Amino acid sequence: MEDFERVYRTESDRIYSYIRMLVKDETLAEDLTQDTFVKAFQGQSHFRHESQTTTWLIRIARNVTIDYLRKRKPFLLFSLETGIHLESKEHVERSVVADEEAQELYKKISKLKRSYREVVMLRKIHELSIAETADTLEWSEAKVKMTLKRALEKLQVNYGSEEVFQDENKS
Amino acid sequence: MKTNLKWTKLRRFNRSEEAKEETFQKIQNRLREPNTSSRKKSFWQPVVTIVALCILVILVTSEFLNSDGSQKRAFLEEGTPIDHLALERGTDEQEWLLERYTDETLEIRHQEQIDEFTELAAGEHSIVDHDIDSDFQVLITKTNEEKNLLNFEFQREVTYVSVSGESEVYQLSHEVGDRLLSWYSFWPSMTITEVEFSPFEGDDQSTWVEGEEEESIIIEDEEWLERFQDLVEKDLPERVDERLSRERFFMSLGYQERDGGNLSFNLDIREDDVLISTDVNQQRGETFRYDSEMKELFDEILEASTP
Repeated sequence: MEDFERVYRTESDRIYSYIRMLVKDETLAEDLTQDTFVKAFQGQSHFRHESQTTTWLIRIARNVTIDYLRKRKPFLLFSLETGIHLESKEHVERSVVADEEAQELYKKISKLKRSYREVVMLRKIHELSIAETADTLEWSEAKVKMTLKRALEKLQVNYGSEEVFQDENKS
Repeated sequence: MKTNLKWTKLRRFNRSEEAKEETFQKIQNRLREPNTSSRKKSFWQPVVTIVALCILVILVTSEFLNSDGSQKRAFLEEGTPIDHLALERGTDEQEWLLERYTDETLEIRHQEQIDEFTELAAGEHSIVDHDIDSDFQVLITKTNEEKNLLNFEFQREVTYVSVSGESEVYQLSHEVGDRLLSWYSFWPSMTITEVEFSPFEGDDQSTWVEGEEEESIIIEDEEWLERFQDLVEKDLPERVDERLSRERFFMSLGYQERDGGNLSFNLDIREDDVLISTDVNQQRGETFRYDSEMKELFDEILEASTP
């Protein structure tokens, strides 16, 4: 349990941020973070240490989040694509980071469609390798590369000429 | 090449220590729960078993008394790994899709759509006494390349399906039919590159104003196209019998993967929703009702396109 607590202390912020970017809801992100770590603890005997702990936790977090959203039918696909906060037009999300530029980046990423958002989160923010991203998303590596390229192009369009978004991490 | 250092700042959002601690406490409590329940298990287990047996007896008796001889079976097992679906309408020729695809064959390869189909169709369904009248076929190609051909008949309240070569007819919810027909109407697996719509003149469906009086509105804005694509792929529209108003539009969709392969629809942007009908030339077609998301999109497009 001590080891588990250590993992929670070091990784939970990251897992929380990952989930929150998918669901765009503070309270729900805490609940799903809770579910993720419960599942991780219960399944830790199956963790073969072939991947990093973070990657393993992100994979669990993604499954937990998508399972949750799927059960919310009839909002299923709409929710998966755009984030459930859009069910309520009154919902205004609080600032997620103190840094203004990063907050702006968050907003722009949030407007991307889910596949773009996910690949950007995994490759650029959490810096998973192409193979790890492909494994997590259950895509081919070619699809990861192509989708990331399109996502960055879309971000570039949204930013205009002021920023340069390229996939500099090729591994 | 500029590296964006902001990326990693999004690894850790604002999150209070209290929230983090509270979540950890909840995790600990949940992880301790199994031990508590196992202590209580010895006392509760016989009670639970007896209650479960009583419920089972009631259910079996009730089923027996109400039995109309119907059986349930699965024509598609849950969790079946599917590579893709092929859809084709307009033929009642047996084994058509097994023999060959045509230019009109629509392939569904997006995992989310395959998952949705599986969720709607897999598992047990009632076998009914019904002569299926099918002109819509779905060929399921599994990841092990095994193929299953299904023949569908769509009614407003119910969908019938049979597996080619088998005599059983299964009864499914109307949602399966709504979903398949909407996919077949909008070709969700292809990329929409252009949406063009023009106002009708009068209620004569054979004419619409093409040029001089009112210009067509052509949408090539990427964001609008993506939103429209998402809606026709992901939204499950309701099939309705409603008539479109006289203020409707003629709408044409262009696709990246098919040169000149535009599809035509009637479009009615109403107060709270949008009707899209495939019945352009008073031939057989379907009318789908989309909710506020589609309505908001077309309102935006109209507002931006109106001088």
